[in-house]
Amino acid sequence: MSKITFDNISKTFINRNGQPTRAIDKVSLEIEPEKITCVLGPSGCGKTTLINLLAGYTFPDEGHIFNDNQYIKGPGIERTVVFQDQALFLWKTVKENIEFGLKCQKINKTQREKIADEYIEKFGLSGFGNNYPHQLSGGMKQRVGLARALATRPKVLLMDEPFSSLDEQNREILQEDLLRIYYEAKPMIIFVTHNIEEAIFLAHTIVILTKRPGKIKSIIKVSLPSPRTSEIRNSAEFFQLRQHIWKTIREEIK
Amino acid sequence: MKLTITKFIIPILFILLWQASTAGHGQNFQILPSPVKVFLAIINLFREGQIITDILVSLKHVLIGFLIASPIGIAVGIVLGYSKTAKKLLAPLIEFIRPIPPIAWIPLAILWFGIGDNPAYFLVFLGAFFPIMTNAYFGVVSVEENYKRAALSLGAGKKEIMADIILPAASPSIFTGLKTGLGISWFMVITAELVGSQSGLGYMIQLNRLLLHTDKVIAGMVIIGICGYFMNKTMEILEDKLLPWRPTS
Ligand SMILES: Nc1ncnc2c1ncn2[C@@H]1O[C@H](COP(=O)(O)OP(=O)(O)OP(=O)(O)O)[C@@H](O)[C@H]1O
Ligand SMILES: [Mg+2]
Repeated sequence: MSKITFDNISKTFINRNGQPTRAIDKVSLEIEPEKITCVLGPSGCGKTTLINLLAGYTFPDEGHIFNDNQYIKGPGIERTVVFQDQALFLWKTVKENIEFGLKCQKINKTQREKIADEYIEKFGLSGFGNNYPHQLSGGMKQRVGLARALATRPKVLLMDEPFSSLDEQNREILQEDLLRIYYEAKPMIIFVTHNIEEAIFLAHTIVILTKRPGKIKSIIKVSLPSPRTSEIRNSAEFFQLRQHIWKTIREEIK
Repeated sequence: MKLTITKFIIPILFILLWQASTAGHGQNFQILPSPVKVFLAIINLFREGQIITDILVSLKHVLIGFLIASPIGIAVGIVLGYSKTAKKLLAPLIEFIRPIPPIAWIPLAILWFGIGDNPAYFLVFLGAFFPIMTNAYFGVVSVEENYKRAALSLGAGKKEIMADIILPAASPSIFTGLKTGLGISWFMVITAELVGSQSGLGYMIQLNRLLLHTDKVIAGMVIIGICGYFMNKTMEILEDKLLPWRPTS
């Protein structure tokens, strides 16, 4: 079981002219294992920075981040990242992309192919295993990105606006696919988004950040029933929550 | 269909103009023989057979020089792009040698290697090495950070980052280097044979100039152009075969 703790962390960037930008300011936060936490906040408030810190791509200037009481020292397979632009390996087929994490773990070829086929099937990519990414639609690319990240069964999934470039139908379908896989494997998911409805639909907990430098503005527990189905989107509770969050964020944008 | 016709308009006009400009002065063929004469010269050259040896010799010069330059150029480019220390050590020397046009090495090449095959190999090597090295270098340094990050979070080690990410991501750029390098190789081999060799297509047109066989000189030039064209085409076909994943192919 993975638990992540932010202990009073801050991060400041220094740009080329030597000007400092404080991106994250004294954030303390506990993220529960096996839960989906969505992060909302105005543009430029430090959401991607948070993901990068969790992934181990950068490190805080002050404070510590623990994963199961251990410092995060760098990237690792227990924390897999899904990018907004997918970062699919263009020179690998769909299947090879999905196999990549397994290959890094030295899992043998037959086993790898079996797992890859399983995920190809799960994400509705059947028949496209041997295609290269440039031959896929945007929605399919994002499915491959998800399948690639999930095939290694990471304990923590870090997602930075993964669905923001998709049209509404595709976005909702992918949200439901994500939940389906989530209920199977129960990873911890930290999901950054700009879309309030997306956050409500997916999250157990929503963390709202202030405008830059990002601090925690409010933490909202979403008590909609699980497993979530698309009907929830039309419920009164959903609607009320949406109004409430919208108001909270509006205060930051003004 | 229209497109293919458009493609031929200018070349046909060019040949007609060339023919017309040689029509009046039959004796002056030593300055500019007519296209018909050049065409006949090409046929004659192949009938005599020597030209085939010349082509093969030039191709041999190019291939050997190019095949030595390719792995070395690619390796040096990758190391420079990958290791900051290597770049600090090697870049000053390379940046000093690179702006010297390969042609400026001809006197040294002849001094060192005499007249024959070796100066040609050397000059081809020099001409091909720099574009191959530079393109491999830029290919490696411009690999998007997100690919490496994605790979790291999927558990990649140093070996996978190199073999599965950097090399394939840099391969289109490496290939561009190889194509440019081969073009310059062909350019360099003719130059080398013009001055420092006793065989090959460059030597052949030089010899015919001395004999005032201008039709054969131009015939040789046409053959040089055709060979270069096919070499480039071969590389393009190879590129499509080896890099099927690129969006534009
Ligand atoms: N590598 C960097 N160098 C300098 N400044 C940076 C760097 N990365 C982020 N920043 C700055 O830190 C702040 C937070 O950036 P971040 O990308 O985390 O925001 P974000 O919340 O993800 O924004 P968006 O919603 O637009 O994606 C911004 O002002 C940004 O300009
Ligand atoms: Mg961002």
